[in-house]
Amino acid sequence: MTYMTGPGKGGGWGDEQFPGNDDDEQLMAELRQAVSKFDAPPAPVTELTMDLLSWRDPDAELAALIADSRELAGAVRGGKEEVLLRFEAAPYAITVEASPDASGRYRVIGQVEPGTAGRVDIRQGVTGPGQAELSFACDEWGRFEAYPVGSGPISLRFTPDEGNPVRTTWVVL
Amino acid sequence: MTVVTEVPGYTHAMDGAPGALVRRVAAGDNSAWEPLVERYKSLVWSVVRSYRFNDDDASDVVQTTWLRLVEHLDRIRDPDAVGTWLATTARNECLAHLRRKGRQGVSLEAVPEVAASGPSPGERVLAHERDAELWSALHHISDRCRQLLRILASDPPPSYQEVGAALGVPVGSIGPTRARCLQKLRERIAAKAHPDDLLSSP
Repeated sequence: MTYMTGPGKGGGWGDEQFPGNDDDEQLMAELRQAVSKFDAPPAPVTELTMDLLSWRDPDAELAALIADSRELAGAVRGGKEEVLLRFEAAPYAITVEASPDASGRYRVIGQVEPGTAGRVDIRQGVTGPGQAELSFACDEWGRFEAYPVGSGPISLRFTPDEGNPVRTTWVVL
Repeated sequence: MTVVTEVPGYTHAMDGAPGALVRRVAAGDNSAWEPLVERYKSLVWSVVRSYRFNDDDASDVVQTTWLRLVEHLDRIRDPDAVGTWLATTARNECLAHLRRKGRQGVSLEAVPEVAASGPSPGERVLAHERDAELWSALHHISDRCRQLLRILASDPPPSYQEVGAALGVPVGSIGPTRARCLQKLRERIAAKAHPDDLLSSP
């Protein structure tokens, strides 16, 4: 492992790494104080962040996001819309269709391929009313349906009746 | 895949360094998570705010950034550079959020009104006015300068690697741009304080 010399790698403390003049240092310090006063990280956001470690799940294989309908050229954007997602982690592919209802919550219809019976847990709600893990059955054809799912970051965990679990990377609905 | 190395000469005092905190969390020591979040919460929030997301979108993007760290704890190649990793990830999540929602789907942070809120109890009026003046001026300079200064103003001060990662710009460009942008900020404050000077300047 090589390290760059000088301050800054990972933990630069102070502005001495920017050798500006004293006036610049003074103004920067004043600006930092103003920003801390008017736009510090909100306490609720930090409290949620403190809880996020509980979602750590090293035992499940991480399924990467392969496709997101919102990323397609010409996708209709703006406001709530149906979202199609595809995740893959050998030997599974998980396809998810999330449709918003009038209240802004989503109905999630999914398919695990190859068709495998098991359970799907949806981790979500980090920006909603408390964290929640919703559990849904997945039939022998790998189909599942989940409602209601709130907006914000979600991750799905598929636990087959036999075999090792898979979790999807986090995506924002 | 998890690499937890016992460093020779490892002392208790080093437990609080960012890289050590990451290694401890990765090894299952959950008590190291809180100081890690405390150390970088301002940087991550500042990067996301620098892209002008409103409270709700900013919250989603910030949480997603930290969730990326949680899901990649075993795979961080250089735990000592976790600040740079977080800055890069926050930037990527900001850009992904804009791509998915489109500029139209994301309501941007309005220029914050601070004049209405008076000084807090015990705060000196002059200090409050100075803070308000700087905060307002920050939103009346170019977008590029506002973004750079907003990130530089995170607390504790970020490293230039972290700032470069947050903006996707070469580290060497940051110092000169910072000097130029601080000058713009200074001019903006002066123009606000002495509006007549603007008329007489060429």
